[in-house]
Amino acid sequence: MKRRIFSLMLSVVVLASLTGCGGNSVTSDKSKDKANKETTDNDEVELTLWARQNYYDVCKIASEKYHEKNPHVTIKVAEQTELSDQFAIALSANNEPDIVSMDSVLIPYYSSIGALTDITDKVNEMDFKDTFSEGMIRLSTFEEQQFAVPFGPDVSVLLYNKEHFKEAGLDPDKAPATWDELVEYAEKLTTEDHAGYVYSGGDAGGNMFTFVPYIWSNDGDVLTEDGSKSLLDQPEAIEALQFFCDLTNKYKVTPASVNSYDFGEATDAFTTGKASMVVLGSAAVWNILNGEYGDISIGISLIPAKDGKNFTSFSGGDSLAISRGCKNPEVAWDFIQYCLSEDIQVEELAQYGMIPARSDLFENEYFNERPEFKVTQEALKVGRAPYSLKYNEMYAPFLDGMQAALNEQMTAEEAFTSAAKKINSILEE
Amino acid sequence: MSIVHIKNKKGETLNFLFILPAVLLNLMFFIWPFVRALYMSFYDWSLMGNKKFIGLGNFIEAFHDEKFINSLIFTLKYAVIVTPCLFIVAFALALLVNQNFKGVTIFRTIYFAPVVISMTTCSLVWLWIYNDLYGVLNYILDKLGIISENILWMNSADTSLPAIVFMITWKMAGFTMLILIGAFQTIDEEVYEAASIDGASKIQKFTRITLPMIKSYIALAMIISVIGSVLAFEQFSIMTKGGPSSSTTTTVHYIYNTSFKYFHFGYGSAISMILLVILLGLSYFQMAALKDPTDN
Repeated sequence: MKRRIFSLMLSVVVLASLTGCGGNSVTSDKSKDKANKETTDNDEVELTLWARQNYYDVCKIASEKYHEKNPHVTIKVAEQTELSDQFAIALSANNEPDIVSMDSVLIPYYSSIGALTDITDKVNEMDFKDTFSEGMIRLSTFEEQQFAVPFGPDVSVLLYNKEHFKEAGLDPDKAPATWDELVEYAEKLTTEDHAGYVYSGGDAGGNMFTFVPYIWSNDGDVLTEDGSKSLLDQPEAIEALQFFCDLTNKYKVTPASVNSYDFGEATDAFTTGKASMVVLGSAAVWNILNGEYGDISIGISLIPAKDGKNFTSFSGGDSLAISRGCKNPEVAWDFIQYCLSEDIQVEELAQYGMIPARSDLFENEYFNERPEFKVTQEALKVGRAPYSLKYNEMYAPFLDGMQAALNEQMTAEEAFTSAAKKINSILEE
Repeated sequence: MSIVHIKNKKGETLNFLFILPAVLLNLMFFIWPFVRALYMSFYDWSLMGNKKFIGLGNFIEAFHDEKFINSLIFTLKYAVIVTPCLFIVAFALALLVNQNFKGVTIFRTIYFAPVVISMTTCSLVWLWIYNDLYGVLNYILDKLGIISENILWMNSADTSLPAIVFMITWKMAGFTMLILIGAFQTIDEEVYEAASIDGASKIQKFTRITLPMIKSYIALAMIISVIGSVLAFEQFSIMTKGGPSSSTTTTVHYIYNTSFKYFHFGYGSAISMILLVILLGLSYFQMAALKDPTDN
């Protein structure tokens, strides 16, 4: 009897451990791909590219179109939902893809550990190298060398529900431009049926995208220019946090639950009509305008700046990089250049509402039809992102502190001062 | 109980061949990564570049790591709360369906069905239900007049923990229920009949006959359940994101962040070793406490 129980337990434990192992097939598939890479005498080239969800379709189409023009080159595109995690695992197994379309804020870290190929000379040779946004170029730079090139920018902008505006007696074509106006509008828009303003304060990705521009427009910053010290303990950053605390606790236009919202929840709150204003990204703008969330009439504007003067935006999205293990960087670079050509940037990105990385392509047939995209272009011009080699790690105390202040467990000053201390000790390690 | 021996013409046993595939899989996906992780735990191991041997450095750091210790406390608190909930509900369900009326199988299936949903899907659906603005739960509670103000379910551990415990109980009670049904059916009816003759009440039959006789099954269910709770990750990562202010970060979530978000692989491996030791200790303790005295 005892033995039966024991063997039953053992088999269940073994089964349980196996069911947790579904994800491992990715590594074995990739090693097969790597083995297939060859540069034989007849110049057959096969490269792998990993992309995040948002840009997978574009990369796939780009690889197909490129193959038509260059039949000897095959670019195999794979979608990775947790790209950074998978890339890290692949690097440690010497199994990484040749090209990667990665979250721009992580490029500094991967450049610093030598995972990416230096492409400074190649970028400098490009005709349109000056058409990229400063913010994105800065993120692709490490120790004055270029390791990535901007591909698919995503910027944060303010969205508002025009119907709600009309019902509240506000001009549906005029968005709030200052912090005071934001409060004024939000108070009018907060009713029993919907909250005036929401944002995603639950995770680093959502928070940085939708809150940090408020710090910037107040002439503050998260880190110093070189990313070596935190500036959260400065009055400019504290004021921005205080403003957000006031939205929830003083003016009561934002429910405290935004403390746990990720990007999807903030989007859902807005698209279900439960919130009148929200800061989202250009990708979300397209999905909403495309009717994916039903009939909702929206307006777009730049994120309200403190005094209506210094407008900013968080410029994230993807950059393309060649990893250190790439056996054929010349072909990889040729493909990357193709991804930056009009064929892809306009026909594939712009047509579907994504902003081209090159400002010389902003004037295109698709954008000229949609005035909303003028706003996203403006946002890209003023877009920036904090530069850090320890991006996720340094963001954790930021998030903890902000959430504590919003839940009134600390004052804004206490929260950001202690966050800055923790961040500094992380950066010093 | 004997094990069937299959011998080929030469007389060699083929038992080994039958279990070989499972052994190989276990070796590749469990033993080998475990050995590697153990090795990494003694190093300051960043993703690429120089790794430094630091002996017990990571382990010593772990004992001073407030976030790690808080995650352990939270995880154990969660396990201690969710386990009785699961077992009380599982017992109730098992008693209900341990009969042979027509259609009982349908009920057993309904109660077991949530077990097979992926934890990720389950978390996403319940996150939607629990949302304060557009979630259906607040809507129903409001219409029924039970609440006048929206409950912000995920905004604090005080509300998110009960909410998630409720979800997990709904999802996983069926699994324990299944084990208990099997356990109940190992008890011979005659034992109950004899007890009836001696004048035993229903409750006495349950506590003096049923429970002691299925002790090893309870042990099995409990060990599996506790291991699952201590390893809880997705439900918190998706629903509360470990917050607010890291108040609902479980240990596995912390290990995940340490390794894959902060790129401290050596330290992440070390704390997963500590977690392993804790789990082994818990399992051993449970096996000892629930040891069936009648087992030879």
